Amino acid sequence: MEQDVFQKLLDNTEAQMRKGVLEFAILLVIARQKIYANDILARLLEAKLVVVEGTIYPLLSRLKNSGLLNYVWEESKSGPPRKYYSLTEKGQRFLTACQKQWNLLEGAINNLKK
Amino acid sequence: MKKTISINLGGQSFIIEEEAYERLSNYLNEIKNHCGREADVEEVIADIELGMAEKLSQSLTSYKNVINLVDVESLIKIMGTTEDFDREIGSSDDEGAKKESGDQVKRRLYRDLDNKLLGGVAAGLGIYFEIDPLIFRLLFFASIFAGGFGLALYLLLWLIVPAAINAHQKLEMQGEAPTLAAFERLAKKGLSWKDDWQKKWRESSWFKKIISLPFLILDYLIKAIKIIWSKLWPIAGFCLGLGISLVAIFGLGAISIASLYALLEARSGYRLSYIPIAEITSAFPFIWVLISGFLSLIIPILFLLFAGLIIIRRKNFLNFTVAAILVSIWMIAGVSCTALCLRYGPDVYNKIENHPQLKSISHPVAVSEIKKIKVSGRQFRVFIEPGATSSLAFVGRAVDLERIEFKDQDGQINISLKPSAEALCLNCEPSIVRINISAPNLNSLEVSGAEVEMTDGLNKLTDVWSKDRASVNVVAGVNNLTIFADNLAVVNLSGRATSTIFNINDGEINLDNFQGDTAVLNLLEQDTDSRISGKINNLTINSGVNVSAGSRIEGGELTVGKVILNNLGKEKIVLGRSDKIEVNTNGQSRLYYRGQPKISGELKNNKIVRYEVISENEYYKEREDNGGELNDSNVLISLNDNYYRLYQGSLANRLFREMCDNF
Repeated sequence: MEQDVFQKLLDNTEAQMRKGVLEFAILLVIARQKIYANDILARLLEAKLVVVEGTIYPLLSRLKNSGLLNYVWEESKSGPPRKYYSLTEKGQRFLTACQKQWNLLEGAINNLKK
Repeated sequence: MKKTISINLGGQSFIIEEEAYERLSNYLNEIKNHCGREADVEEVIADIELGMAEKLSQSLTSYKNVINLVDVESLIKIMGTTEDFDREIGSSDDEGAKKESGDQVKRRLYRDLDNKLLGGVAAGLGIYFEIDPLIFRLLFFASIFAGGFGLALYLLLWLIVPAAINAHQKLEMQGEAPTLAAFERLAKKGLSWKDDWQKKWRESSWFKKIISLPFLILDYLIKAIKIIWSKLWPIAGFCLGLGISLVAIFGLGAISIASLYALLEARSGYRLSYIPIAEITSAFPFIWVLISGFLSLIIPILFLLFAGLIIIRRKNFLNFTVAAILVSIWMIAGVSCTALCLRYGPDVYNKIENHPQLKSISHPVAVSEIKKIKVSGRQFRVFIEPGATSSLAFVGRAVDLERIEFKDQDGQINISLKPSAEALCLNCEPSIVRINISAPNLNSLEVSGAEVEMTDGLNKLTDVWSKDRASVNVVAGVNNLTIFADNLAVVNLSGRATSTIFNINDGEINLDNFQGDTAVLNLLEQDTDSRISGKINNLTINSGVNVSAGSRIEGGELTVGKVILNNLGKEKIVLGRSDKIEVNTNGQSRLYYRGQPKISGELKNNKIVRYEVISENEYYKEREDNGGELNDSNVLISLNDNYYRLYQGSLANRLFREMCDNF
């Protein structure tokens, strides 16, 4: 019982943390080069930031609608054309702000850990 | 083998198994519902589809080119459930998410095929009301005995309640919202409902097991019948089809012949019947009635024939156009026939009813003083009464009266029927002709075939001769009477006569309360029956040995003074009470008598048995006296071989007959 409550709390906290940084992480991945959904996913899975792949699509859509991203269709050698995402100028500013915030957080946490 | 369908996912075409398609489609719908408040849900779905398509195309090879449920399940696992979505990114609309995770929606009534015994009605009701379906099964079963109401209700529900076939319906049946999680649970459960059922069975109490057992057996029985039926159907179907076809062919033939006959009848110069059809049919469009009637009868039978042939050949060769044309013709013909019949039917009926030749008329004939009547013909019904003076009248259809041959030779009346004058007549059997006769001085009656009734008071009638299945009821009132029953004629005699001679030659004479002084019964033929009752002082039964062998005389209700049996052979005779019996014979007859008459003569090879009829009270008293034991069936008590006692009651008459038969 005790264990259950602990695990639940932990799951929740972890999820909250991941949720908070997921958009930041996506923007970071996209900022390096224009990239399509599967490759973004590969990077995020590698970094163990997402567990299931479906979640990325609503996020991408939300970011695009907020004007942080845009995309172009490009032909692929195998299969149908792909959507390649890149940051807009607004997205770039957003990312910078996020980075600033992340540094702040990192500093704060490191400070607390001492 | 599974059914596959072709789908377009993210601009690529895939071949996918049906159940896998359903799962995938449900999943996408779920995502769509979940992201319903996202600004651009269509785009999200399109993106997801695109991603899925890429993954699926990677999993396919030239050897494995169909997507199955396992592929879809693993894909969904990778993409994540809506719960995963919630946990990882949160919903853009929290309220919507809350509603979805509430999981409960309104239940709908479906037939539950996963737990069905027959049609899944009880199982569905059980889920709907959250009651054990067993209760509904018992209710349905019990109400079968309440006039079959339950059975009718069950069949009705089976018909109108849809079955829960796909996952959506199954969830709706259980009142669960169609969430991804629910679909997953269902998929896991649905794959092995049999295990589930067995698990339920193991878990249920012994009481429920006992009650369920008949239903379980019924379930297996139905399955067994289904299997047997599937094996038998080819043969049974062939026989059924053949039967239907033969009936249809027979029907086609019969209707065609009947129509042809009707056509001939109406159009030929010959008269095929006494009904003047040519005359009647000219008064209305007969040919149209015939054609429309023919078509409206023949087309359904044609369909019957097609049905039979289709069952035999197991292939439908009736195309829609032909069927539609036939049905149209049938409807037009049916409507026309009905309309024509309604329009002209009453006219035709009136015409037949009032046709002068077919109307019943009375035709009196002038006669001299009637002394003798001779009637031959099965159509005649003769009623004779004494009356004041002689008179005679025929009553019947004019067309029949025309054929009567009537002769009056100085009081000797001779009535017979001429054959039909028509050269070709298939239906010219005459109807019944009634002959009403008054004949105060009638003394001789000869009847062949006809039926004769008479009233009391014909006090000069001394000779009655009947033959050829004639049926004559005689009321006698003379001194000397002679009756002859020949060739299957039946004479029923009542009244009184001082001296009577009965001659039975393969006929039957029945006395009904007849009062006679002396009577002689001559048996002239083997195997004749007569039933006699009433009172006769001196009865003599004559026959030649073996001439009358096997004849039966049933006279248990006859009271006789003295009976003389002369020269009998193998008759069976039951007599009522008598004072004296004289047996002048050495035949092998059997005589049953009642009371304690004085028996004289030669008994030799004859068997003579005394019987007694006792009342119910006497019977019970006797039984009591014997300590409650009368070890026979309580009707016929055989005290010894030569003495029977009969229990008198409602069975008495039957017993007399049985006794006669058991000689």
